[in-house]
Amino acid sequence: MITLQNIRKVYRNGPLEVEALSSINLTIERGEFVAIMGSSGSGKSTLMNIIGCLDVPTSGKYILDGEEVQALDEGKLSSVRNRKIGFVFQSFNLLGRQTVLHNVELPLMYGGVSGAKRTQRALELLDKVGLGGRVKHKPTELSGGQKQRVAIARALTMDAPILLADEPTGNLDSKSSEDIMALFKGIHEEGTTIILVTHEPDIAEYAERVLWFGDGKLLRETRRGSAAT
Amino acid sequence: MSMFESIMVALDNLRVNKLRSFLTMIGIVFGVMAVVTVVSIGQAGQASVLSELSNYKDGFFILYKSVGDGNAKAEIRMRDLSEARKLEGVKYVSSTNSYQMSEMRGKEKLQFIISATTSDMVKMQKVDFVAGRFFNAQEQRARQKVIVVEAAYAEKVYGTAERAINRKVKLSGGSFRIIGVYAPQKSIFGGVGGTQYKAYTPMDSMPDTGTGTGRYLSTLEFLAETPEGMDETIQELKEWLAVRHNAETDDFKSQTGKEVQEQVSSIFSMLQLVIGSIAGISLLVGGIGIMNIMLVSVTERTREIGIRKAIGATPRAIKQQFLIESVILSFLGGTVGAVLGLLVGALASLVLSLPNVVSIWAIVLAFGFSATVGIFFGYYPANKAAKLQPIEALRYE
Repeated sequence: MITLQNIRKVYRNGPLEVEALSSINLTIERGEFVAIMGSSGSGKSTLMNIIGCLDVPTSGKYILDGEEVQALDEGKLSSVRNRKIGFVFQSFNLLGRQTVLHNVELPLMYGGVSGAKRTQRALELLDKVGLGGRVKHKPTELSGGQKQRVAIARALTMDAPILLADEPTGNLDSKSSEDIMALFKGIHEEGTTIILVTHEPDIAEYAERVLWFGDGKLLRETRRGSAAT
Repeated sequence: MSMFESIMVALDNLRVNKLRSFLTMIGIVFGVMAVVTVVSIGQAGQASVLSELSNYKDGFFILYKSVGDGNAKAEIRMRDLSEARKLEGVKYVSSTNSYQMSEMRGKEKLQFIISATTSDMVKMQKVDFVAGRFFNAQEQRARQKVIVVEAAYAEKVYGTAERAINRKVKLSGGSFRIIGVYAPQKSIFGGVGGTQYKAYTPMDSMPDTGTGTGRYLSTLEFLAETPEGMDETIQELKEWLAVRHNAETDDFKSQTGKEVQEQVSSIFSMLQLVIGSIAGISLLVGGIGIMNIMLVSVTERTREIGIRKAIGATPRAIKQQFLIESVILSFLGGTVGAVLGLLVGALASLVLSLPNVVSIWAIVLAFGFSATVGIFFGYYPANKAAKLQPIEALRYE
């Protein structure tokens, strides 16, 4: 479902060129639970942003569901981000001035789902992440774990087949982290493809497949129950 | 995202920054207010002058000798007036001299502007009588000291128009008996230089005018037999006068009521355009204020834009959101400005005693202009927001 061919990403800073990703080849199938591990600066977040259509590679081919992403215009890319990908960020990225409910409704609004149906769907998902009683609160009134659960609810509203999580537990304590990971596990069991960036080995434990990144390169990968390849 | 939702999101954002939104709006408020006020007062003034001019009946015109390098022989005399009456195409002819006179009432000095004219004058202009009548041809010929005064004078001195009839006005030119009271059109110039009451007397009743048929007149006033035949009659009259005084046709000039109306209209239109344009500049400045604030707003909300894009907002939806914000700002400003402008216009009309004209096109113009300002000055910031790369916007601190 996700195919990366020779993906390169170069950041230019004046005369300096920094290669964040060099020649990545990767395929991720529907229904996988993949963890991307690596130290900071290894290029794992850059890869995540490219997969999430938030960033574009300098060269190479990204094929999502048989469609070449570079060929899509901004409008179509928006639709891909809306329908195919749910994104969970380390820093939550919720709209602070809006209620929890409104935040979760937002993707539905951009997806063209109207009024009552939208609210119903958002409430359903907030119930699912255990925040049914907090829908009228502002994100600023919530704890980190609660905020991340709002973000997860938001990522799920459009029934996107892919859930991307960039250090989702990076700002959370261990108890909240466990809760969040339990949520991810459940979501994966329902059939959603999950790609998760982390540098914590115990978080990577939840994944079936772990990709190790270093210095912009895919160093190795391991699958649960099998030896490193 | 529907238009309604975009509007709700925009209103919400404006509500969060109440003070800023308000201050931004003020520029537009004053701009629109200035334009609407200027146009309202201008139209009221125009309406006032035109209604004054509409007293002249259709087919009214005047003839006078051209001043400057004209033939010295060109002149108009009393006997021309009586002869012209017999000419074909002429329904009535008259002549008017104006005098400024005063009357002492106790310690108060009442100023008059007196039109000394012929009895035919009342047939050429609309005069609204409140009481009494105009003087007739016999009274004119007999040089009777009778006077037709305006209602304001009668009411001031005698309380009502009826009570003023047959009372005397003691002017420097003698004592005149009031035979009629009329209501003149309110004039835009009415208040200038203190109150001056208008009045009519027979032309020969005024002192120092002489009575001979040879005395000079400055103008002749005519009512053509038919409005359609007016131009032809004017030409014939000029030629007739030229022959009588051994002068050239061009030595005599004419002006029709219609020409005066057109001149007044064009002067007022020019005035409104010029002052309105100056007022329009403040609208432009207000628009730049909106653009400035929208640019700040886009920068401030870069991260929000990134979030919205990450979850599927199209560039169009983002553009729409910011554009609607700026249009709402300028439109609200336009509404407040139009209301204030109409109030100021109404107040000014009251003070200047003009008719209160609610100018629909001033309002349409103000709204159209403020909406245009909102779209024009909101477009660049909105487009800037729409073009932000999602990942860069998300990284923005």
